[in-house]
Amino acid sequence: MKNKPTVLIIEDDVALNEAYVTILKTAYENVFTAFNGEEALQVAEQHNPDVIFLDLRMPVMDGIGFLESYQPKEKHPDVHIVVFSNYDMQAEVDKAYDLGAERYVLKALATPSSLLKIVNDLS
Amino acid sequence: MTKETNSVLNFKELFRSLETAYIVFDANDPVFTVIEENEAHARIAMVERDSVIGKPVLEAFPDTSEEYLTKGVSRLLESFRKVIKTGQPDTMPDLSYDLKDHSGKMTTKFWEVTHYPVFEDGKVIAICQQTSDITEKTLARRELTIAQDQLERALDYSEVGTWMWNLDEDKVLADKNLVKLFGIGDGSKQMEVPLSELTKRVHPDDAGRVKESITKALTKKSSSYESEYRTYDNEGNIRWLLARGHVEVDKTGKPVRFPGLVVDITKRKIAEKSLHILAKANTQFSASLGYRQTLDAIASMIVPDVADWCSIDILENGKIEQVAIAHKDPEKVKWAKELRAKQGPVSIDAENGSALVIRTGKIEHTPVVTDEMLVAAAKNKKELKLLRDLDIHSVITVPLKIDGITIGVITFISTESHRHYDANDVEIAQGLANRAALAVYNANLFQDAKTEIDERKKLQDRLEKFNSVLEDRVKKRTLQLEKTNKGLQNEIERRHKLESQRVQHYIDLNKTKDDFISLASHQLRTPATGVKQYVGMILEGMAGEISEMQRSYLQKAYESNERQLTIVSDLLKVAQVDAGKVRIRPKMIDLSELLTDVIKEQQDTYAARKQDVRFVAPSFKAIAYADPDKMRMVLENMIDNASKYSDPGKAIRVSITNHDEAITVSIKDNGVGVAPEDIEKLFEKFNRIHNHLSDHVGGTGLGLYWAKKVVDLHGGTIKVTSTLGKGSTFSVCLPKNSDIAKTTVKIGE
Repeated sequence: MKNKPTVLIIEDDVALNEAYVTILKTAYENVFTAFNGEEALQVAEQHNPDVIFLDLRMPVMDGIGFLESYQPKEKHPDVHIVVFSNYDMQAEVDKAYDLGAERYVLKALATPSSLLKIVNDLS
Repeated sequence: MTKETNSVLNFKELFRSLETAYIVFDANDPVFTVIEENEAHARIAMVERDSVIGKPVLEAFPDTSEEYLTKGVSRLLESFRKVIKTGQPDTMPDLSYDLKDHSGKMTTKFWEVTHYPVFEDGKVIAICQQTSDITEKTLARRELTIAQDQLERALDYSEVGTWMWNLDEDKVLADKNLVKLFGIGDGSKQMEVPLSELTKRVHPDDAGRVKESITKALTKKSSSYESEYRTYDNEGNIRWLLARGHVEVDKTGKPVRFPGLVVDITKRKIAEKSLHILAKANTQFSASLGYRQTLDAIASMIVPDVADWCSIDILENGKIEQVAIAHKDPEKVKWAKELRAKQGPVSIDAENGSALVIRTGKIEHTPVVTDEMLVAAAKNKKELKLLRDLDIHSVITVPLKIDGITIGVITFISTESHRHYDANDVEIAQGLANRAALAVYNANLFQDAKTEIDERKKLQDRLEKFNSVLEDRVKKRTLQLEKTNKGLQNEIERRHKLESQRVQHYIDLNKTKDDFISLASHQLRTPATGVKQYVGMILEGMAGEISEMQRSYLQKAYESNERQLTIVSDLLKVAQVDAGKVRIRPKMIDLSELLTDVIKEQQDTYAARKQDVRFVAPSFKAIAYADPDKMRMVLENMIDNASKYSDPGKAIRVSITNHDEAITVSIKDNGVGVAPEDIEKLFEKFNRIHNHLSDHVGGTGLGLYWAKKVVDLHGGTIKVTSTLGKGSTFSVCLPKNSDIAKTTVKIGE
């Protein structure tokens, strides 16, 4: 783990995406964003993130689709993936865990400071 | 040898060789010495000539007759003397001698001897005996005599009569039996009578037939004769006879003699008649006849062959009723019926024969009815005259019995037939009575059966009518039922359809609900989350300095937004748990760490309320088997509740206790408390307990409901102890490992 972790935010809601970037940029330099899974795969390929905040419900490619292609267990064992979603249907969350997600955080509960703390804890 | 000597010698030789047996005795000798014997005599006398000649007669041929041995009288010597005295030959027809044959065996010989006198000078000087052996002839005759004796005795015994009709003289020699059977004498001796004496004794009804048979036999149409007919015997009884004879003719073919015999077949005839009646009774007595008709028919059959009169009397209601009376003459029947009608029914106690037999059940048999009996039986002179006129000869009264009970009698009376009933007749009468009783029994049975059948038929008709009414009703009902059934079936089908529509509707609805939950969680939360992040950024100083007033207002906005998020969260969580969509991912977690973290995270909130919320860490490592995220939410919720429902300044203590298999987290507050009756309500959906803080807290009433469901999923329990106004303790008991988690653990275990 680098001293300054690279964080990837995958969030389709523009306002939230901007909010998270703003919050994380107060503490970390390398913060990248993507608005769907497909885009995220390209960004991840380019920037090799250390921590990924992954929304589940997204257009084009959703969070599960991203995990299936990204294959964190097999190909990116060192990347911390935090499922960051308001969509808390158990089945879908379970599937994300199975595919290699490390934590699940309900977006509605996260505060700006808790967001920073998560990255800090994982780094 | 002289001429004379020669002639004597020749004579002697001739004498000796004669086929006829001769022996010559000396008539001048008192012991009648044997002078000469020829060969033939020696042969039949079984002696040697030499041993006989010169011997006295009784020495040569000893007299073994009883007469000689007992009285000393020799019939042989007597015959000799008679011949000497009379000078005439004398014949002894059967002289018997017991002789020894050559083998020494004694044998009896029968001889026929003739003694001839031999004269010289007018004087008998010798006796010449001519002897014939008649042994075989004599024995045969004796046997014949015995056979004849036996035959005669047999004829006597069998009552077979014989006749010999000499046609030339028209004399019939009738033996004793025949005499008796035809009633022409007392039967002590045979009689010789003209044929007409016999034919006039034949029953008038049969006379013509007999005459015809005799003529037929004599005219050679048939030389043998056979006929059955009735005669009157010397007691006046009718006898049935079977006659058989044979016409003998002379050389010219002219009939000369007509011998034959007759056999008494009266018993056979009556027996035959009875048998015939019985047979007829068996086949012809229809059970459909009333018993009176049946008995009438029986009585009619009995006369005149078995009896001249036949009366059948039946016991009815203690009175003896004459139900049948029969005689061959209808006029006499009419007369008898009128007589009886005049007399009226006879009482069972009466002294007459019928009543007696009914009472005793025993046969009354009077073989010969005497005038004294009639006198004794008659009640008055008129009746005596009547009885005498009837000319009663013999009576049999037999009981009619059914199952051993006498129901009446049959009376057989002999009048003009002059018969005297014997034991044989009693037997026949008994047989007929049995048959009659059976007929009565059958007739009664038939009547009973017929009555029963009629009754049954009536019943059956009624039943059939009833049945058809029932059937109609059943048909109508069935139709109604079928309609009803059809209606019901349609209704069931309709309901099934409705039900499946409803189920489909619910499935659809549920889908809609899930979709709604999904939509709500995303669509409702995301904007609120945006508010939370931006307001949070300002409050956390990421947008620079803000005034106190700005902070205060933003804080209120932030909290409102928080409440909205909580409501959405609670609704979603409950919806998920109710839908069974919540699954836990338990693992071994350190409760001390978890609780420290939870309390630390909310420390600012508690501080704002001036509450001392503290985790009292245990000395042991508190490991539970639980889903870390879910258990975190459960404990957060419960500690938050303790804080919310406690006034500012109150202390809250969180502690852990260890048990064998479980581990318990206790959250003790000094808050408002819960009334005992409300404790159960705490865990009900949307149920909020009202107190002075509840309005301010403004929860959804879903937090504890969800928490309990989640703890249940862990195999754990939640327990509450509380005193209203003083505070509560909420305890969460969790299993220590996966094995225990399979069962529900409780506090205190």
